[in-house]
Amino acid sequence: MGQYILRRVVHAFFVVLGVVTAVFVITNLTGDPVQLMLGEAATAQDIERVRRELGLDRPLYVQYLNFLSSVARGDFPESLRYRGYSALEIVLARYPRTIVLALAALLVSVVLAVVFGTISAVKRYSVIDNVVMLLALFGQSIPNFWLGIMLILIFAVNLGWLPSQGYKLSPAYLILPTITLASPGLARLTRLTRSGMLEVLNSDYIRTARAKGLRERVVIFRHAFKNAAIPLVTVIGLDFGVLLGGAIITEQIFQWDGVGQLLVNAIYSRDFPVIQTSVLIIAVSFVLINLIVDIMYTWLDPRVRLT
Amino acid sequence: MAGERASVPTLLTPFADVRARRSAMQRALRLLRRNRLGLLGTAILSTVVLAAILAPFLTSYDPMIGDITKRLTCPVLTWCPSFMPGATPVRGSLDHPLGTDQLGRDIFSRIVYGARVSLIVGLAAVLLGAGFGSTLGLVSGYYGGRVDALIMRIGDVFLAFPYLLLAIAIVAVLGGGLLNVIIVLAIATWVPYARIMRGSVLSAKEQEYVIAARAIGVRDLALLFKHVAPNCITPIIVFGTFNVAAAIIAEAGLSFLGLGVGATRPTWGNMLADGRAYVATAWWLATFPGLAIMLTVLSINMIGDWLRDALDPHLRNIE
Repeated sequence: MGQYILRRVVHAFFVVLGVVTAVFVITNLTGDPVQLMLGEAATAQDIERVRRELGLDRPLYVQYLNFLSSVARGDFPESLRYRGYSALEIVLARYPRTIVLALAALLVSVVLAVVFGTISAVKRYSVIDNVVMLLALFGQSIPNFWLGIMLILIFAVNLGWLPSQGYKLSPAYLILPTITLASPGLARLTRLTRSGMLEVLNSDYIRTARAKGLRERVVIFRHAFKNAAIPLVTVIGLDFGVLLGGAIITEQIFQWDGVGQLLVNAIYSRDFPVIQTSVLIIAVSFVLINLIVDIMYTWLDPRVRLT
Repeated sequence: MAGERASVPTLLTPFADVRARRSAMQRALRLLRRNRLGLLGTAILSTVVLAAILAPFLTSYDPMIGDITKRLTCPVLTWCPSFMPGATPVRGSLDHPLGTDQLGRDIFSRIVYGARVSLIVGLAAVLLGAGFGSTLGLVSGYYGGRVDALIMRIGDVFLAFPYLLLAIAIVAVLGGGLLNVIIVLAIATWVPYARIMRGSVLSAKEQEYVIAARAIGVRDLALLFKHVAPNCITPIIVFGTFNVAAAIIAEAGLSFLGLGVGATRPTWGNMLADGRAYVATAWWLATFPGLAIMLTVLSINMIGDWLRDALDPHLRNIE
């Protein structure tokens, strides 16, 4: 088991290294970002000065090694828009807000998906099952940024119950962005819970449990659910990446002042250090979350330890 | 006696039907007739495709040129306040059945022309991503060893980026535009295809027909593309179908953020961005393009569900 975890950790380390490399490659795709950063109005001297400041006049492999070492030391370049602050400081200041939103959405989608998916599987082909599955099909097909706008239209503009935008740590400000961000994952997880439960409910050991005369509630919650939950854990880990990606748009709709909005604004204002850093931070945290999920697996599913 | 014998086959008749060999295509079509949602999805998607092709015949308005005196006209059957000072509320008319936007452009014509962008991007991104990914997966699974390890580790790095984040990051550097968006969405999705293909190849490699083909001296490339790939294509088709829907949503998302195909083309995502800005005054700006995206994506998902059920018997038993 220790060996399995060690292997996952080593693997995650190399993926993080790959992510840092990928971010370096992406930001060097155009060759020289300085022209993009400074815009059309920049003079030749300006461009030359910034190139030297950022070390862009040196060979590519030196730039790469410098980038690696500065990332490892946590020494990120200064933001071009917010002078005097390092890009890392700015990103980390906004990050908790994105995490709050993503966690709220994850909680909502997992809890509701498990409830609806299980009901649907147990009452297979009933009216409830059909309604839940139809809603899930719609939920998967509604672009969540449109859902967000419609929620604003209904609950903020017409009914006036909830604020239409802004960041505040209060339920009123959190409700609409959370629903918006949670909806696609909720639909997907509901369908997965249902099919996972159906598969387990058809298995031999459930038939045995029923034959023993156990009550249906015990069969479903003690015996079936535990095994049906295993594949869900993986999907939840992957979904967290979808949430972090989706948060970029959701934050833009609701002017939620997190990393997503920071990233988009940094793109508009060509603040390359901030773009680089926010992409890096989001991707690395996604890798770490999946590492945690992998390790949780050894505890949930003993079979994994043996392979 | 003869009477009794005649009654027995009626019990077995359904099995005779099952036993009859049918091609996968026939089976799929047969299931489509039984699967009403699949049929509905096909009907909706056909309508969208037709509307996109026939756009110039469906509307006489240019999707990019507006009449500023008719800005923010509301849809037919609804009333809205006039934007001319002192005027009485105006009623929407059939001139602009879905109303006009903040520049007086006809929403209906923007939606039908926008369908072109969505469908082209969705289809092209998936064809490109699936082609690239499954080729790599084929190579990876067939040759194994270092090639396999390298391709899969690169894939791990790509998967470490949330789909939309990777697309946004690349567009941020390369800039938007139709071709860039297609390429970016393809780059962001090749890994699952590679993994699916690799898995199928690994199991196909041990099949007797492959061993037999190799024994009679079929060369690697021919073996890969003629014998192995066609037998692994089913899960790729199913995943690809769902991915068209995902790509359409992603394109709309990029355009919504102003990082998509650009403001020179009417797209559903651009329209939604305008709609967000005018959500307090003109509800129709965001409502109709969103409905268009939803219907298109819904129809593709319905077709995907049907394809999966029809082509993949294992999944059919579970669902």
